[in-house]
Amino acid sequence: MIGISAFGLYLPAYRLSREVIAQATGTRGSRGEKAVANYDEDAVTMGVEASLACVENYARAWGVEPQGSRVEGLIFASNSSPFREKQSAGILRTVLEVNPSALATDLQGSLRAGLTGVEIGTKLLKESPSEAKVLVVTSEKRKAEPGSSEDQSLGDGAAALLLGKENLLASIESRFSVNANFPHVWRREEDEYVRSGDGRFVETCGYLPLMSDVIRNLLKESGLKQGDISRLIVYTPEPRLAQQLARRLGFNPETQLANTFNNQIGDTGSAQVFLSLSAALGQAQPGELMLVAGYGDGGEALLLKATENVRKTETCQKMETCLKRGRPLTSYMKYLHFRDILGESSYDAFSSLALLWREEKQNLRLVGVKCRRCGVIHFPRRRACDKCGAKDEMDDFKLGRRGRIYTYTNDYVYLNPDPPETLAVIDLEGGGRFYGQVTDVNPKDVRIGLEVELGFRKLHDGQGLPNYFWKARPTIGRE
Amino acid sequence: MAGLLKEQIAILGVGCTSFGEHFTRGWGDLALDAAVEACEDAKVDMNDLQAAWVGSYRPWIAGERNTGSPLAEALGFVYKPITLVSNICATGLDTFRNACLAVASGMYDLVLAIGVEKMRDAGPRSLSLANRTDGHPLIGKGRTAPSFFASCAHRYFHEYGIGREPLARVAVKNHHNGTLNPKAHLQREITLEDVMKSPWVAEPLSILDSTANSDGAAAAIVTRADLARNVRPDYIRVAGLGLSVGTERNIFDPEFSFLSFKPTQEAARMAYQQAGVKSPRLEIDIAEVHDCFTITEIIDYEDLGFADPGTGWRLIEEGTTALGGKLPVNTDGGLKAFGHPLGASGLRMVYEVVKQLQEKAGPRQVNNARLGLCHTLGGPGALAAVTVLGRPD
Repeated sequence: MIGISAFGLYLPAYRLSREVIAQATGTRGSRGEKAVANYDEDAVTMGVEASLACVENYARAWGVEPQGSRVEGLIFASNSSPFREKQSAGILRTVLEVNPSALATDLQGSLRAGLTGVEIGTKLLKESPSEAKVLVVTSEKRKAEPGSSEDQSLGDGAAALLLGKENLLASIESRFSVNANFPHVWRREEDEYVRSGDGRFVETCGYLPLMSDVIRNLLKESGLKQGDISRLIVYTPEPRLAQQLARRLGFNPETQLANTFNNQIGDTGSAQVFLSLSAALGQAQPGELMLVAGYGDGGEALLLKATENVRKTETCQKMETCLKRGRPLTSYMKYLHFRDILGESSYDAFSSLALLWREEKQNLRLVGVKCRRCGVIHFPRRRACDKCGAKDEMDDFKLGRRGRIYTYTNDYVYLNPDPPETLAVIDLEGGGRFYGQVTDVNPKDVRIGLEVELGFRKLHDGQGLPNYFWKARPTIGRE
Repeated sequence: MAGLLKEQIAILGVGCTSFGEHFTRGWGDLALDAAVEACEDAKVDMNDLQAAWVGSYRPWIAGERNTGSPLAEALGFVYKPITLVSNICATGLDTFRNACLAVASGMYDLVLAIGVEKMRDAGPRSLSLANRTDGHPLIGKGRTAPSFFASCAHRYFHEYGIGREPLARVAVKNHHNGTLNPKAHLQREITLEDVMKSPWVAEPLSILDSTANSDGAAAAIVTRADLARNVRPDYIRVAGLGLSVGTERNIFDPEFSFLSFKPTQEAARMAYQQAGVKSPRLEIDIAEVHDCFTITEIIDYEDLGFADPGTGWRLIEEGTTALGGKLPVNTDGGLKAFGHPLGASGLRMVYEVVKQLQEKAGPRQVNNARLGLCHTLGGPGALAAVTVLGRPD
């Protein structure tokens, strides 16, 4: 049996209300708000956050860490990867310390890429030993033209699913997919922003018939009726369309249709069904059947059955907590700045490809050293101990990601699209100290003793590529 | 004995430009003005100097090279030994130290130590820009000079239960001293309220808690004491030269308190030992200390032994370090009001202490000052220099 062992969610902290967008762009506003990545986030950083949450949720549910060495595949599904050429999965694999000989690949080009990733992962696991795992990560930070309808609808977020053959929250019972060449949304090589077809056309000739086709066929092949499904989880660019689809297929939108969160976080593209499914797993009862359908140049559907273990999700991250983390971004100008649409993208940052490559262990994996002679933990790494004078007597020491602020400041000198910049000294749980930027925080809330967590962020684009490192941010609660 | 000066070393003359926004003068203009004044004060011909040490943290920012050549060119002082010294904010005092050691070695008996910095050729944020762009691309990125000292201030407040007021009083004091100094960059009185209402640079430090960003140069002519005696009876004796270089990674050190700086303590220990100073708070008559931010001056008091840990702020509250107090500090306005061209600051302090010991400090003259101290601190409390100067008798 193959299924889902854990899920991980990540929603950026900022929420932009559609009213603010409408006012700034002189367009008609719609309801709700959308999640907006901070200026230091992209699809890779949010994917890392969701993956780290997934690993942690697994440890909470099953009492053991999933071993990176047992991960046979890492699939990164996104239509907004920071790279047109270069693998994002490779960055995630490094940060997560996944087996270097595992399959690692990026999937893009369709909003159902995440479910395609699940299909690839399932196939991979069939051939693998029982303890093998595959991590499928979806993450989106799609760029919409200011004032367009996508400017209102698209939101940012990430979610990861850990697939396995044992320790399952839900099993994958069957799948069905339909491929079609349909111009609903696209972005050409030369396009900065997402483009989309005429609304009525894409709904009538694309979304509704294709999704109906794939869902009907999955039910038929599984010998099930609409009433057997307790949760219908479908991708939708807007809630109305999902309801229309559910009614058209004979489902009850009120009781069966899962929340797609469009009004809270926006249309998160390939991450949307992963987020909805994770939220649904958090509430599912053993034995429940869930139908998940993704969309994009056709459709892809999965039938999942919650196991007895699904109750273990009580200890895991909750969608509500992630939603609650949101804080308002009141300035549309700032939003444009965050997305490099307006303003200076960043200062001319110094970087060195050779140095970044040489120090990957330290910078991406947060591995410092501990002096064998005097026990002091050093980060950054060093060969000579300035405490006891030992030379080359260091052992690797992986830093913890939680800690408390020892001291801090809110700095108005450093150029940052979201000033002031908070800098803090953090004493880490397990030992060692981190000094760096604090992000996603209201400067007024920062104080000595505040609990924070290290999150993966982009510091700048020195040498013309994203330079990733860690910043502290408020802990994402699990209450 | 190791750690002590074998020869008696003397300062024969000093020079210092006014500090400020010298948009009309380049790096070389400032160097020449300071050097000429020092030579005139020492009554020596520049051509008789045998070697020079030039301190400049980032000469390339002002279009110069990281070599001794810009000084040779500025002074027309060519084909002589010139060494560039760079040690962040301790550059000036380290330059002076190297010139003294060269004379002490016996190889030279008349040399120039000069510090020059053009901060304003690089824009208004050049100080902080330095920290934004230098060094490791990721580690500690975002650190600026104010952000580091602001973090010290927050921790100091937390540990010792004080607020911003004692810090603000440091600014008020140093601004007052600046009004008595025609060479100071900022020559205006400020009030406690002005500081408290001034905009943030890095919380809890405001613009008025911070040093001015200035251009300037300062110089000293160094010789042997036995030779100086023949030129002028009021030459100044070099009593102690301390330098302590630690790591800038202290910000990541789990044991680092952000409340005191080991390099200052170590450099002071060395200089006091050489000068035979046992109780600095009783023996030192005037001090020029590194007040890049107001909190720094308070921490300096403690690290230099003028006050016990956690009580430095009391010296300000009690007026001990004001002009007329028992131990006047930064009588010329300090970095705060005189300004802070990095490489020049240490030699500017030497200039002030020499003038005070020679009773030539005009309206800010301290009565009967016999032993003076200069202190500069570099980076995030990573390195420090302490120099003790005295009257010849």
